[in-house]
Amino acid sequence: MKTRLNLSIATIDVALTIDDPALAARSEGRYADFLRQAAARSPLEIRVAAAPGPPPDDLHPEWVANPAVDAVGTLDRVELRGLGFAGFLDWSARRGECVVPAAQAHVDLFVRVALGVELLRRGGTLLHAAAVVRDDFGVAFSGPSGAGKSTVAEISRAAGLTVLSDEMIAFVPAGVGRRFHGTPFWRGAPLAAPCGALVFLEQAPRHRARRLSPAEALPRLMAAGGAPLPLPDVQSAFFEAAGAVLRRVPAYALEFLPDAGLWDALDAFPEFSFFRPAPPQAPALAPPAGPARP
Amino acid sequence: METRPNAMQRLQAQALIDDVPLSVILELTNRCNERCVHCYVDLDDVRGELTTDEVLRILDELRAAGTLFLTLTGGEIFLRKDALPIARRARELGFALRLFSNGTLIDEEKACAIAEIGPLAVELSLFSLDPEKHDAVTRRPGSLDKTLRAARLLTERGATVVLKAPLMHGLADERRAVAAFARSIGASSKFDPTIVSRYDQDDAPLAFRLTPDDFRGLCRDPEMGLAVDPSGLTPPDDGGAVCSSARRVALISARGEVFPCSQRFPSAGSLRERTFAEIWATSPILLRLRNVTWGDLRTCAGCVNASFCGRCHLDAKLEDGDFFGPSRWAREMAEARKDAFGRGGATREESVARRFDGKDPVSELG
Repeated sequence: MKTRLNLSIATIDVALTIDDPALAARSEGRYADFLRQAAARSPLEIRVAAAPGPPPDDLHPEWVANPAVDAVGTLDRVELRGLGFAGFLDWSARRGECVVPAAQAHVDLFVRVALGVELLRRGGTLLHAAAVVRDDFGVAFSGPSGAGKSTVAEISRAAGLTVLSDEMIAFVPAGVGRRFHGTPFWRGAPLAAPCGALVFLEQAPRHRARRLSPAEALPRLMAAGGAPLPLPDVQSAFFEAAGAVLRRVPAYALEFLPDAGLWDALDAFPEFSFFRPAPPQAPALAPPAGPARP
Repeated sequence: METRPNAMQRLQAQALIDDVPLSVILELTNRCNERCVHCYVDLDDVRGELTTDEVLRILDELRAAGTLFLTLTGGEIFLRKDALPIARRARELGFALRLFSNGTLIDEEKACAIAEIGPLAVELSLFSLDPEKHDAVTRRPGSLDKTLRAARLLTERGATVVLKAPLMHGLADERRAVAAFARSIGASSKFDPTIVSRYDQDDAPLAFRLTPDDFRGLCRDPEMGLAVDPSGLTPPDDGGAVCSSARRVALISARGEVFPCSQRFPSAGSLRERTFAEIWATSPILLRLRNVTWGDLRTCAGCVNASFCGRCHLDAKLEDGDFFGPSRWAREMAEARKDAFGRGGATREESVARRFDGKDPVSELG
């Protein structure tokens, strides 16, 4: 029996058809927040078949969590292979197929690649960053593994802020605007906010922030990564997308301690503090009585 | 009825997409010889005015950035001795130039020079033809006579003159006499219901705003046109711009600071330290604003009156506390517009079709 899951992640519609009931149930739970009720008009159709072979428990846990992948292809079509799995994604034909062990990480891999390349084709990109919503703007925190993305996400959750994602976000053109979207990689919400800032994290014994020029920010963004595949076409498109991000999102370097005081360093910039909601004042809708009026 | 965008609409739409600063307002000075009750400029802050050389360099930078419509304003621009040379240079560079002035310093010689320079329009502030009322606004006795004289001198010499006034509570009815006078001398007239708080965020000018009832009355006046008609408003599309601020409109202060549209925003940068192109491309405040669309406005995006609303981010922030939230004043005006034009919920397209025979008048906004 096949199960069809209609996903909507960062404005991209993906329909998964999974023939293994256990894997389908796990995927349904995994993507629960990103499921949509009705089928989209022309989603990326990905058929997932469970491969015969050892159950996931017999595989090395690290490999199951982070399957190595060999890829060949272009932005139109790629073929992916690894230990115990294989498949292709064809964006021109809007479809893909994969045979995977019954491990969720392999489904995630195909979905992430499908999403990442589709975003690149639409002028957006995945970014290796956490993001939170503050004063209605999306503020993304990037940096290499261990820089503190998850820590910032946790601090922000504790402070009552909405977390879009703690590891991977999508930068998406929205008409004349640009938004950061949450993704399910690895803990995220199906929410979005207009792009407000891209902050590169550096753990330090103090809070201190400075603005970065696009030229300063670009190598940091490339080093943080986010290209869905190590293919020349894809890397080139990601480089273009990184440039597009930095043309639209102000960048900062933030030395920080793992506490909520990090926001004070950012609030020193007027572009952060200006948008803070303030207690409303009653506007003078009706003019006051008296001689001051002409 | 489907309408095909005209050349100006296409130009403006493309400028929004490409972030071209098509329209720039350059405040040459904060100094003014009038003290209008509703004025938003901080007239007492006259430090550090741009020099002539600095202004001329800025004109070159604006031309390189793609600016087409340039407005020179103040304060009163003709308190600067170099206002005419600056205007002349602006025309030489090909700007479609507007001069905002109260006219009180325009004599025959200046009127000749202005006509020869050939701006798109000289826009003179005129609040009433009754000296008592006009001078009560400007707080300068005798100012009406000087403004009227300037209007005549300019039109007699072939300059294009627009007599304009914000529509204020207690003075809105003066518009009929102003419009009639404008017609009588070959000028045109323009009225605007927008009154905003001062640059220093003092909200004293708001006391002179139209009341909702005032505005309802204006909506019933067929001659008011785009000043009240919703056809001129930005349609509330999910990915559409809420306004032109920071996208194809910028303001430069008398001290050379760049702002998205008004000095009520934080400065985007100083033209004494960086070029206009650099500020326009990298200023965090400008970049943030460009990313905001109608769909990001929590309350307004789903409002049934959105098609009738001239909401301003700054009014929402400075008067009601929330940049992304609704503006109470805009909401009042939207309800009045809907009563007058909506007829049970007409869309913007329906309004354009009914009021303007399907010919979208947005291009008149310039």
